[in-house]
Amino acid sequence: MSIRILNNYCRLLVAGSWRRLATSSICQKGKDSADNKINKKERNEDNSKGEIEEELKSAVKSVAKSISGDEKQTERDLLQQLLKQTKVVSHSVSEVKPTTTPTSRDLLVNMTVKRFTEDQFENKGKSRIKTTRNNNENNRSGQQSRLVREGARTKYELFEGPDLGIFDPPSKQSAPAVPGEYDRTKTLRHKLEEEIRAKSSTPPSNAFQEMIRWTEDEKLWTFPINNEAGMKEEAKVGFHEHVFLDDQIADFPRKGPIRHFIELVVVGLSKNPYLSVSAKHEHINWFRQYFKEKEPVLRETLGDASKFSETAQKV
Amino acid sequence: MATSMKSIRKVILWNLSKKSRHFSTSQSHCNRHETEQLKRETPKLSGSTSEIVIPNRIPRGPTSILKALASTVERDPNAPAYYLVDDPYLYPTGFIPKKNYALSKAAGKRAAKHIVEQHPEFFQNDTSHPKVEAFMPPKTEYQTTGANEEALKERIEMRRVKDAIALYTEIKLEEMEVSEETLLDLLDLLCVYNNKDPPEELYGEETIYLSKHNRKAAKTWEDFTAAEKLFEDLPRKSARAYNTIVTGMAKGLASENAMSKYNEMLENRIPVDLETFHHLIEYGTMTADSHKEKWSLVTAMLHELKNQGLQPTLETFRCVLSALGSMASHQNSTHYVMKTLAEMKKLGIEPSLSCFANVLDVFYNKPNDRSDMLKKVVDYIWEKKVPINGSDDLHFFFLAMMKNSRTLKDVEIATKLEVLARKHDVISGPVQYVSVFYSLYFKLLCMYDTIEHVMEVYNQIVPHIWMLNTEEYEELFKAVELYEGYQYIPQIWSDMQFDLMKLNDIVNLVISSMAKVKHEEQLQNQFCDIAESLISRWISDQQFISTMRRPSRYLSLMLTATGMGDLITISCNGNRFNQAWLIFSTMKDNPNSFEGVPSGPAFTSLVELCIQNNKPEQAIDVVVYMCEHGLPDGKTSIEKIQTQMSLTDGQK
Repeated sequence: MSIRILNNYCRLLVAGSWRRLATSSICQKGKDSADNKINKKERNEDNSKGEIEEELKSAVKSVAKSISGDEKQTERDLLQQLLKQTKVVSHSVSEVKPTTTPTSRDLLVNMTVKRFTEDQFENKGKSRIKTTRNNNENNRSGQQSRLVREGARTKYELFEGPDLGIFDPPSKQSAPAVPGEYDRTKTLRHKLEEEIRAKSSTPPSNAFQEMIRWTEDEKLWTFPINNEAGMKEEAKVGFHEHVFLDDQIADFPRKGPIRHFIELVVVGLSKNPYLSVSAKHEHINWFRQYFKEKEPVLRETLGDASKFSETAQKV
Repeated sequence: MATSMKSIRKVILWNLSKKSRHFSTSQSHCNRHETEQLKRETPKLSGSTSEIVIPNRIPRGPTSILKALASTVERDPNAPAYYLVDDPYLYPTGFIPKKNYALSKAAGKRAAKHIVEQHPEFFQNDTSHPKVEAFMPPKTEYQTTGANEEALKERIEMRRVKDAIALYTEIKLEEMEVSEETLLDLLDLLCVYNNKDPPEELYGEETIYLSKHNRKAAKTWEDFTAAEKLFEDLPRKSARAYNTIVTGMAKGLASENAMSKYNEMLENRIPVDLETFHHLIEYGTMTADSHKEKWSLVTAMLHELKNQGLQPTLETFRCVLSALGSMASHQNSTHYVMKTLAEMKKLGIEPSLSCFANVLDVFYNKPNDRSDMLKKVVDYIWEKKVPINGSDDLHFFFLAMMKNSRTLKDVEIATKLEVLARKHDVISGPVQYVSVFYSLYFKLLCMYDTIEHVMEVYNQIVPHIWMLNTEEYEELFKAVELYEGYQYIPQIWSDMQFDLMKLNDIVNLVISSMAKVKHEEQLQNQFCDIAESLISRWISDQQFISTMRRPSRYLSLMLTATGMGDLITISCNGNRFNQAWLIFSTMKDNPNSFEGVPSGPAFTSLVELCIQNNKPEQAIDVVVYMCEHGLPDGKTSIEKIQTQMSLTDGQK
């Protein structure tokens, strides 16, 4: 019998388009417990429809019978409550846009889950008591807001519906970007904006992120370790320029102590990892200058072996 | 001999270079990886004789290994934030200690920087290879002086805006020639920094606690100052110049100027950059008088964008949605938002979280909006795994949680939001947003979820991510009482000890919860222990205060009369007569120290206990007290005593 009563309620609620209460009562249909009747009574008090129909009156009577206590009194109370609600609703009915003949199935489809999904109704027994308490609390404020937004509400789905119609989807063979007067990514402005964006605003959340930041700040070595890290100038110079310095002494005398000496100097320089190539050339130049200056003195002792050749001969 | 030497050298060189080639191939990890891959791949292709596809080289940067390692690590729920980690005894657990620790760490860094700046002479000896610029004292002096272009370039390089402006005015006075490139660079600098020096950088820890988020949009661009003057002085107003000045004005919220310059650009057919369009759409449309006009301006700009042959990007649509967010009260803005999202989908652009934040702004503009868009958005983010960039996206989560708690109050949405936020480390953002986020979430859980689930979440969040405040404790204890989760109270109590400043407000909550029901022995013993700690603390506080010269400076425990009554009830429930008597006598002896009026049931139970323990004198004391304070059940207690106990004549 209780299920039939519930069915009646559902139909009546649907007519007044109070979806949430209708669906919550539909959910309750599945449960046949003592709580049912108590919840029904509470919902009765918040029920609202256009007018009190005969069916509802009989339903009220049966509820009053099932609930222990003064039967007539409960009946009167319930009817009074209903009348009170109708006065409120009758104003709003004119404002409310009537939806196309809704069935309970439609309501379930459209129902917006306010607090609990149907799964949660099934699982959490205790929560049911809670929901009715909060249902009632919220209902009073919910009524007013509903009256305000009812007219403007339409259902939206993400990414569906009409679009702006301004742009075309990019085709695979889209024309290459017309090069403008200047390339924005090369301007100072772009660099400045990058700098501003790069200043990270939160502290690192673990040690690895801290190490990443230190690496980016150049405080930490990069992994895998590069022995030549930071040597930007030296990277441009090949090793052969350090090692093979024989070209530099092509104009020195080809025999004799000077040659011997400068060859030793070149061997030493080629093994020196601390000087740059230009520094090594400077060394050799210094010796060149020195021997050229001292040529008058050396000519007496060495003779031919002190002559520098004018043109550099490649050996 | 020369030729032989030459040929020998050639041979040596060629051999060496071959070897170096070999070394380089073996050193590059990728190639080795590739060859390994090939070796693994060939067995699969054993049947077919199809060609071997060599996979593309994956470029690895200097931090790739570290990033891979960082992706394997998640937040440890039992440890505080990384910057607060030290000896476990020193973990901060209240809001004030956390703030102190974080700011003191940042202050230490600032002090070190200050020393290096003030005394650069002590830091000149740097023998490190490669040199670390970050540790060296900053270069403050200019190499070039005088009114020339070199000096101007140097000022621009060092980002000294004010000096650059001063120098430029000098140059103008002397009527020197400056190249167009330098002038445009100077214009860029002025527009980006809005004619002021770059603001002082805050350390990460400081931004959490010290960042000020002003939501009010105020115009910061100064009219007719250096940037605009410079712009007027430019011999040729090129596209680059126009774009920079328009962007600068838009960012500084000087919308009228920006729009007028934009119209100039359109008249003179100067191509407008995509970024300029972005700024104009977001900020330049503020000049519009009505929402309708604003939207028409936005669409006009989008059309113009298309006419100039530019393709919109994610940033374009984010700006469109931001503009819609600022006109959210317009009745059609929801339609426009959906249209924009559909357009994004058509172009294959995935919306980011800031886009969704603006969507929420529009849909939930009024306080009582009840749309289901939030649920759809959160589900979309959850399923499609929209990329979340740490604390930059905190705004979205905060907004979503606020809207949820205002109208929808959906626990599922809130849980999803919180899980995502915690996983992607969104919560290391500014503390005011994080604390409100968790406050709303926790209150929602307490109201609509079971106590078991609440305590699960509690264990993960408290105390390191967030600590409860008074209102959240109230909700928590309501939930505890409703779901009868009294077994959690000792844990909550011990957590409360971390943040003793709030203890006075919440101690009454704890006591009343404990006193509600008589529990089984183990739990009741725990409650009695808590009660004992409270009363002994109160007594020692009072003694301490009496010895102090300025008692007001010490934050002592304050109990109310109802609280004391509850303590008595707890002790009676646990059959601890001595403890109950101690509480009672404290109450009797210090009548003015307890606010409020004592409650009846406590004393009746005390009388019962006295009777059980056969202490007639104490029972009489209690009854006298009850009658003095006009508590009900005094007479029944008297009767009980008279019937159940043997009394001497005097006591009668």
